[in-house]
Amino acid sequence: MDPGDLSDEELLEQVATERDPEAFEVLYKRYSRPIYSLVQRVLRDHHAADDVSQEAFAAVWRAARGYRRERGTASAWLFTIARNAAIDAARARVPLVIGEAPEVPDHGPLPEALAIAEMEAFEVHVAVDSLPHRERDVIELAYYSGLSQSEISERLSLPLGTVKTRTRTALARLAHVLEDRGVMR
Amino acid sequence: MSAHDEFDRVEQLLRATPAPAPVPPGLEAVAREAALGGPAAQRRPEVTIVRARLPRFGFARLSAGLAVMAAAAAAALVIGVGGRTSPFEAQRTLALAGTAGASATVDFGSASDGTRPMLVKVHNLRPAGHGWYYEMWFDVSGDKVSAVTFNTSSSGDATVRTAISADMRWGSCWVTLEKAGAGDGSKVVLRPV
Repeated sequence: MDPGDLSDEELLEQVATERDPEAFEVLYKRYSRPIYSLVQRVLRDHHAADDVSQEAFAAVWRAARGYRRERGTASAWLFTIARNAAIDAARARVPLVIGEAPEVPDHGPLPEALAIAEMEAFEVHVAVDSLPHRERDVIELAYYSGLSQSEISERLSLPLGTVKTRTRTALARLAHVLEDRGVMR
Repeated sequence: MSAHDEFDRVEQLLRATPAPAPVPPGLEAVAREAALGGPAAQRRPEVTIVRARLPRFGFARLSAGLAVMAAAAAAALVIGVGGRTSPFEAQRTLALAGTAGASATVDFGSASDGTRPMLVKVHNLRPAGHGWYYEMWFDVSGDKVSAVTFNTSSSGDATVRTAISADMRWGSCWVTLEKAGAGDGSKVVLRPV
């Protein structure tokens, strides 16, 4: 079977049991942008993000045998591998200081909320990357570049009706994918 | 959920999500080398941390806390307060202590299926403020390896069940206070007695 037809979980199991480089490369193609984006958001440093993303994928290869489908999705597992790699790298850049918890509470977002937002962003990026290219283009121009449908029509030299159709088709596909991934609620 | 509601929700998620960063063109080659054959592939020990009872990931269930999310991830991050604690027979117990009466015990169980259960019980450690959390670390051959992240309840207690790789060899263990997302400093709050 073509590795491109396998689910993320099947690919990860192929990596774990067969040490299959083709399965690894398909995983890389599906997850490189979500993982790189996640790492960069945590580190806010392009150069460090390169190294940490590389290390995260190496960790995926090394630790694939630890993945168990019944314990969660491959996507959630990959998210955690990447997030931990980024957090470890962030920690390594600052010295440890002995001290106590702060007296004054921080009114910023809770760690739980931050992590949930990171996970949602990760899953959305994975879902967008799973779209056919022509649908992905209109979604990215609309939601990431802030273009109107008329502007997208002009940018891509497509009839406005086609842009609207592709957008609607893409949103329906994203709803299905995100539903499957447990993100819709 | 109606189709209209689904579209609204997808649009809401897309608008809340920052644009993905463009992946450097050279990353695939170095990642492949690091994973499949480069020296990086041998650099770190394999560490797999799992939780005893891992539900499938679902955002609807995240309202119960990040423990669910981390558990589903079946890897190195678990955040939880007063989590479920299936008992096991401790083969070894490590005691940690901090200031103002803060303490913790870490029980390690028997290895099974490549993992070793670990139960962390924390007492008298004041809750980390908003945007802060606690993190337990192991020193593995000179590398800091994150084992678990957690927060304490208003009583200063936390119980977290997780697991480490059965063959992980570690030299020391400690707990730090961390600021979420900032990476701008960590403070050791519990260390081995």
